[in-house]
Amino acid sequence: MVQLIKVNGLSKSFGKEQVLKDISFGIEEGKIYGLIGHNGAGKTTILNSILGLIDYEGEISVLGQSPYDKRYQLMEDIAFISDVASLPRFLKVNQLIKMMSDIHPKYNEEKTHEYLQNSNIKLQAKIKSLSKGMLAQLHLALVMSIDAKILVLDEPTLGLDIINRKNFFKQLIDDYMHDGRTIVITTHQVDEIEFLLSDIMFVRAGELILNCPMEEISERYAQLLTNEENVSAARELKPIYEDKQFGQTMMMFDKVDAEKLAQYGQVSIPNISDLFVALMQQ
Amino acid sequence: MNIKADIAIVKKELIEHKGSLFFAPAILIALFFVLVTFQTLFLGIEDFDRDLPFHEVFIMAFMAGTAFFSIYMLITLFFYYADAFSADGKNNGLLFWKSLPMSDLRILLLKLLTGTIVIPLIILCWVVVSSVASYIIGVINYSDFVSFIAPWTALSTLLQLFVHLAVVLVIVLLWLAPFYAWVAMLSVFFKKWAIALAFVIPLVLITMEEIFSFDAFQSSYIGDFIEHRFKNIVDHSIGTDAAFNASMTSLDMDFDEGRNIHGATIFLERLPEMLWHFISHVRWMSLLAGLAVSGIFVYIGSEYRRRFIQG
Repeated sequence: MVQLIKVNGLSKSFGKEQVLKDISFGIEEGKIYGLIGHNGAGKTTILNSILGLIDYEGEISVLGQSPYDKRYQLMEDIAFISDVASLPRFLKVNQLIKMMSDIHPKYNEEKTHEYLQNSNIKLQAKIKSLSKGMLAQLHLALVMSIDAKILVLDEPTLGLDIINRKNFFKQLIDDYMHDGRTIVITTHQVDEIEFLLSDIMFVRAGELILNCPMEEISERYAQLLTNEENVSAARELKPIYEDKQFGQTMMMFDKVDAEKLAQYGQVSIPNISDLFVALMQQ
Repeated sequence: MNIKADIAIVKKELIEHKGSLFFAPAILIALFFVLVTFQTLFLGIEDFDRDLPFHEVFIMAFMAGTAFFSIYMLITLFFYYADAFSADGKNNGLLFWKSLPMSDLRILLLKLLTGTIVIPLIILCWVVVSSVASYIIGVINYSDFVSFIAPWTALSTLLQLFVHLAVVLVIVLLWLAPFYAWVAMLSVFFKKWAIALAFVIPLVLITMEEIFSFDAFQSSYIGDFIEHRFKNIVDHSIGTDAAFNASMTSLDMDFDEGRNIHGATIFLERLPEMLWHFISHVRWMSLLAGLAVSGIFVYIGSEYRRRFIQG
C-alpha cells in the first residue's frame, strides 16, 4: 500500500527538553490512524512536524515533499483541525465559507452547505456567537468539504461535552468515511475513536511504544482475570501490567499464547483504553 | 497566482477592521451633519459670508475633510500595522490560517498592501462622502443665501480632486511604508508591545550612539537619518522651480483677489501641473530603497510566523 507520510528518525527539542526521540513510522493511504498518548507525550509535536508547522530533526516526507519547506503547497492536499476554537471570530459563517471557497482550490462550498443543512448553525451567525459544539461542527464541515488526501485531527473534541463529541464523530463517519480516506487523529477519549481506527500508535514521553493495525491488538495482547491462588503461576508468563480489580487480579500479556493463559483464569482481548493504561505504566 | 485568494485575504482584513474603516468614519460624518444642521436651525447663521463663492467653499470643504481624514488615516494605519501582523494569532487562530494553502509571506504582504493602498483609498472615499455630505448640508441649510454649483459640477470637481489626491496619498504612504512595516514586524514578535517598542528601540539606539560616541553634543546619525527619511519625500529643488512658483503665485492671486467662481476652476485646472511637479521631485530612489527595507521587515516577520505557531 502507498505510504503518504514517511517519518524517519524524528526528534524535536524545546530548549534542553527533548520531546520527541527518534520516532519512525509510516502512514498508508486509506487507513485511519489513532495517535494516543498522555498530555505532553509529544502527539501534537508529531502532528505539527508532519504538518510543517514546526522545525524538526530527522526526515519527514508528506506526499513526497518536505512539510516544513512546502507547508502551504501541501495544504492543498492536507486538511487539518488543531483547535476547533481557532476559526476567525470576527467573520460570519457565510463570510468564512466564501473566503474558504476563494482561497482553497480543492474546497467545495456546496458540500459545506449540505453538511450544515441539518445543523443549528445559521449562515448569517457570527462565529464568535457559536457554541463550542457548533464551532466543532462548522470546522469539521469546512475540512470535510476539502478534497484532501489526508485529514489530520488533533484533539478535535477537546473541551466538548459528550453529546457534542459523539455528534462530531458521527458526522465524521457519516459524511467522510468513504472513498478510502486517510485520517490521522489524536484524542484523549480513546474509547470514543477505537471503533473507527484501522491502526493505532501509542506515544509515551516522546517515544513511539506501539504502532500496529487494530487486528494485531487481538492477536498480540491478552488480558487475564485471575484469582489469588493462580497469580504466582501467571506471573511466570511475564505480564506487562498487573492491577487489582474487585478482589481479582487483572494481568496484561504481550505475545503469550491465550490457551496457556486460559488455565489460570478468564482470558479476553483488552480494550484500547486498558491497553493504553498498561503500556503507559510499563 | 490566485488573485481570488488575494482579494479574499484583503476582504478579510477589511472585515476584521470594519470598526475603524467603516463604522467610525460614518459616525463622524453623521455627527458633523447633525451638528451643522443643529447649528443652522437653532443657533442661526448670522456669521455666514454670503459673498463666498460656493465652488471654492466646496473645494475648501474637500480639503478640510482631507486634512481631518489624513490625520485619522495615519493614526488608523499605525494601529492597523501594530495589530494586523499579529492578529491572526488571537485565540490560537494561526492554526486555522496555517491550514490554508497560502504562505505566511504572501499573507503578510497582502496585509502590507491593504495598509498601504486599500485602507487609504477607503478613507479617501470617506473624504468624498464627507464632501457630498457638505454639499447636501449646504443645499439644505444655505440654499436661501448662496447660488450653488450644479450637482454634476460638484461631482466632476470631486472626481478630479479624488484622483489627484489618491495619487499623492499612495506615493506618500509608499514613502512611509518602512515606518509602518517596522511597527508591523515588531508586532509579530511583541504583539501589543510593538506600539511602544516602535519608538523605544530607535530611542535606545540613538541614546547608545550618543553614549558610545563620547560626544553628547554631536548629533545622532541614526536620529538624523530617521528625521531626514521621515520628512524629505521630495528633493530640495522643489522650491526653486521658477516657472512653477510663478504659476502658483498667479493662482494665489486668483484666489485672493478674484473671490469668484473662476478661482476654483483655475485651481482645478492647475491640479495636474501641481501633481506632476510633486511627482517629478519625489526622491524615487530613496522611496524604492524604503520599499526594499519594508520588504525585508515583512520577510523577517513572515519567517518568524512560519517557524512559530504560538498566537
